[in-house]
Amino acid sequence: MKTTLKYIIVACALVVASVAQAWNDKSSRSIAELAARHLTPAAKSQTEAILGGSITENTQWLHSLRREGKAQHTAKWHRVAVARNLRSMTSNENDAIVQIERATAVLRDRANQSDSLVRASLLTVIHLVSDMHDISNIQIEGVPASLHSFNIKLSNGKSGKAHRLTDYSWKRFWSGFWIGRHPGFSPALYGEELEICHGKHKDMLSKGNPRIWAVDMARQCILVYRWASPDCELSLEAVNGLEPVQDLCLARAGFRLAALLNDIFK
Amino acid sequence: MKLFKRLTLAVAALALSHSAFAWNSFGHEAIAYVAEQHLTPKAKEECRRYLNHSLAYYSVWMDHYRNVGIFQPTNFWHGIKTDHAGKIDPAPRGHGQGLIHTERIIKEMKKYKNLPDSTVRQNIIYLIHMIPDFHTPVHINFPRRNFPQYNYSVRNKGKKMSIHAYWDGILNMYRKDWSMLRYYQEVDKLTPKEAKAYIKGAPKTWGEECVEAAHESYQLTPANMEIGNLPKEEQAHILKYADERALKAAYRLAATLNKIFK
Repeated sequence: MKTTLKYIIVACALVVASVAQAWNDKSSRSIAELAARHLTPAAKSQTEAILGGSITENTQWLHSLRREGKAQHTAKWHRVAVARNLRSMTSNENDAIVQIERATAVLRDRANQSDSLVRASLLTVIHLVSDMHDISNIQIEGVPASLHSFNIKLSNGKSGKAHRLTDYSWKRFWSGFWIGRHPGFSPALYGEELEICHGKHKDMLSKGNPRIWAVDMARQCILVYRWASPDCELSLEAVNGLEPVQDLCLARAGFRLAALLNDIFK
Repeated sequence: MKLFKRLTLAVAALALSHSAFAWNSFGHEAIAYVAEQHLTPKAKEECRRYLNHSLAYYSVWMDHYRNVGIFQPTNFWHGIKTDHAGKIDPAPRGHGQGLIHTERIIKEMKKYKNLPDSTVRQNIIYLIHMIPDFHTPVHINFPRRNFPQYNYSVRNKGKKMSIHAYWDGILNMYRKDWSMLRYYQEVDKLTPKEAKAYIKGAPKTWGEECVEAAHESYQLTPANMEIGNLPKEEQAHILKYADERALKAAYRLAATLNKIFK
């Protein structure tokens, strides 16, 4: 019984680890839904021609490849390494920015590339522009907590005997904790919600390029890692108060994905 | 085995904490979404201006903040309490203050333009949640001493489930993967005449209607009823009642906001 239970727990942990690499499915689809609302007609028609459908339909392509046992080397592509001085460190192969730039170059030169490579590059851009806006994917030199996986403790806010602390994975926390509290919202509706709240700042948020966006995300992370560390306790008030931070990351990702695709498919 | 016990306790704790809410998150979001479709353009614009979000986004806010610092007193604002005779308690202590705070806020919002923006925003958030809450049949708090027959469990595929948890989650219990948009499209089929009848009256009369209607929920789901494998016709019968409660909540919430922001 003990052994069986151990196997079950290990299997559960593996499942959680495998889906907790970045945004969860609903988060990444909401990002793509927001982006789709801002594509120019040219970008929309060209991306649809390449993919055979909307950019919202296959937002975690690299994960799905790995689930099929393919392209295991892409497992580390989702992270962004940033130097201590907050400059993007793009010398590493296993860096989302490097891979986004490579895929972007293929897409810009699409007339001379094979259809399958163009499709793969577009799906990579959709996936990684989204993932580079997940706070837990930003690794900052000199900030140890940003370099490793760890658990935090979430409080239920109650006092006395009713007070409870729940262990929660840091990566899972940022992959979609708050969006999970909105079960009535489909990804399309959550994309619309991000538009309601952040639409007026679209131009400001989508300025720049992936390297600049990485630095912008690192600045957000520096603020978060002032208090985040292994086993730190998060009050219910703090947990609730972080929801706008996640929403802003989702909005940034959506607007920036649209801006990049509009620029590529002018 | 110890670990197994711990896991079981954790799951039980989650189930218990869930049962303390009224409509579950889906229910609140679906009701607020329906309400938003019935706002006047002016009311919608004003709500958006103060909230910077949709009504649905903030519909569960009160559940997330009921255990947070200065908002702890609002823990008692999630329903209506009755007296021993089953009439609305005009001065409830503890849980069941939802109606009196709804009435207080509506009165305060009559001159909303004179209030700080943060107060107006907070008041809208309270109304979005409190009006639907007292339309949840199990959030009519009948005193246990006088209504012991309402304190029981049902069975969900053989497992014990509190009647409270069942009704809180009824709107998507048999509708897996529905979004609030789908709920609106498939359930909100009221004629203008029916809609007019739903919003007739004021919060007090709505509250009285909710108290009357709450008794029916217990008739629909007797003790130990197996709710997990209900035949479609029985599901439909229960959902007809539940959807009426939800639509009344939605239309009355919309009417309240339309009146405030007229």
